[in-house]
Amino acid sequence: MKKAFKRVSCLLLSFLLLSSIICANAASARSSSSLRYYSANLTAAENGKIFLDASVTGRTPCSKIGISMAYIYESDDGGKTFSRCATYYSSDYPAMMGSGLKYSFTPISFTGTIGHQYKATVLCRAVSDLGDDTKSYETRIVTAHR
Amino acid sequence: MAEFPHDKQHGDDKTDEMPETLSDERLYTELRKDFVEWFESVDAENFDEELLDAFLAEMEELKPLGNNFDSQSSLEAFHERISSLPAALSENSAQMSTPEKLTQKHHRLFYRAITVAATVAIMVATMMTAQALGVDVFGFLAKWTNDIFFFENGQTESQEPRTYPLAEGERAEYKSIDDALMAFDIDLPLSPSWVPEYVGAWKVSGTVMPSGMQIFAFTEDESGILTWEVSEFTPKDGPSIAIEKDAKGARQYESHGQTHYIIEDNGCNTASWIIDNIQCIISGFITEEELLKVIDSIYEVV
Repeated sequence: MKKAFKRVSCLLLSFLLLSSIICANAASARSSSSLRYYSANLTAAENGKIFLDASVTGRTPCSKIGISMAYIYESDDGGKTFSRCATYYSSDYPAMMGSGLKYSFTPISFTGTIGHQYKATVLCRAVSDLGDDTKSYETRIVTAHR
Repeated sequence: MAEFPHDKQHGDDKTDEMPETLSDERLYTELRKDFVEWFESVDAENFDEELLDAFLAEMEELKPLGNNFDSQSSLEAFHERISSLPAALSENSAQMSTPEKLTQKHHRLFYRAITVAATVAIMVATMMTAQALGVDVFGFLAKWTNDIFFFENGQTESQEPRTYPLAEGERAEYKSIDDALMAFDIDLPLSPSWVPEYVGAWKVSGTVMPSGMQIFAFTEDESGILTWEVSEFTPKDGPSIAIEKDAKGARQYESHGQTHYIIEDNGCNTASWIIDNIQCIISGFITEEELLKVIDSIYEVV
């Protein structure tokens, strides 16, 4: 009897613990005030050329929409470790931001070292009547090739 | 040759005094006593193997070990021993039928049932946790976190390279979604034939990016009430769009054999799905029922 009570209590406690984790996750969720969906891609082309394109869609038409900053990371050990090799700001590269409901451009290109891996972290930003919000997005890894 | 501590064969005084009627049994007892005393007193360094052999030989001579194992008699003995078992079992069974024992049995069954129910509850909770943490336990292709929904790479077969009507970086406008799909040579069910009445006409544009083609449409009033988009991705890299969502998880909606994911974000309902190497998104400030109707209209033959 005592043993069974202990077992049931343990199971009940575990259930409550898991439920609290779920509630905690739900409570910490934060959706964007101005962004609807977004993506960014690095594409490797010939002669080590790397392109960064981005696509950002706002919840409503935006006075400013695009990527406000892009960090480029490079790896020379097959993608095990990365170090930042370049940073682009929209203040220096106006093509990184636009206006309207959607931004969809290829604002950045650079020449990488053949055989090295690259990835980027961009800040997607949308400024509208609904608010000004920025979300971070990390691209997949590409390898610069001939 | 080793000598016994008390060797009857060598005929000391003590032996001579022994009555002639001294039985082998008594001799054996004496011999065994001597053997035990010797065996307990001797240490490893002074151990005399020959003396041990002599002891054992003498004991064997006085009382040979029996070598007459009878399997039949052993079997009979075994049967005799277990013959009382059925009776004992019947007695136990009778005892179990008493009300007290029956109650104990019911209690045991009840606790087992509770344990099973609690285990099932924990499994369900674990699955819910996995979903909340972004793992789609039913599909594994679609994933979501607290605030975004996205498709994981994989399961997309490689496609024939598409022919684009535009060069990379170029942009063009089209009269309708159907026109744009035709221009990009996309023969897939993607164009909705129904939208809510209060939504204006589509404004459609297409472009080609280094990562693939993209066709985007939104309602003409530019309020952004409804958007429609198809984006190409390479099978190697997979889809890359992150869709904003609120605390609610994504849910699946099946229509005409295609799985669509419905994502809610503070009044903005979005549907997303993958067909070939294209990610499709319909999103807007319409009700979920209207969104599902828009999806269904894609597959209806007009």
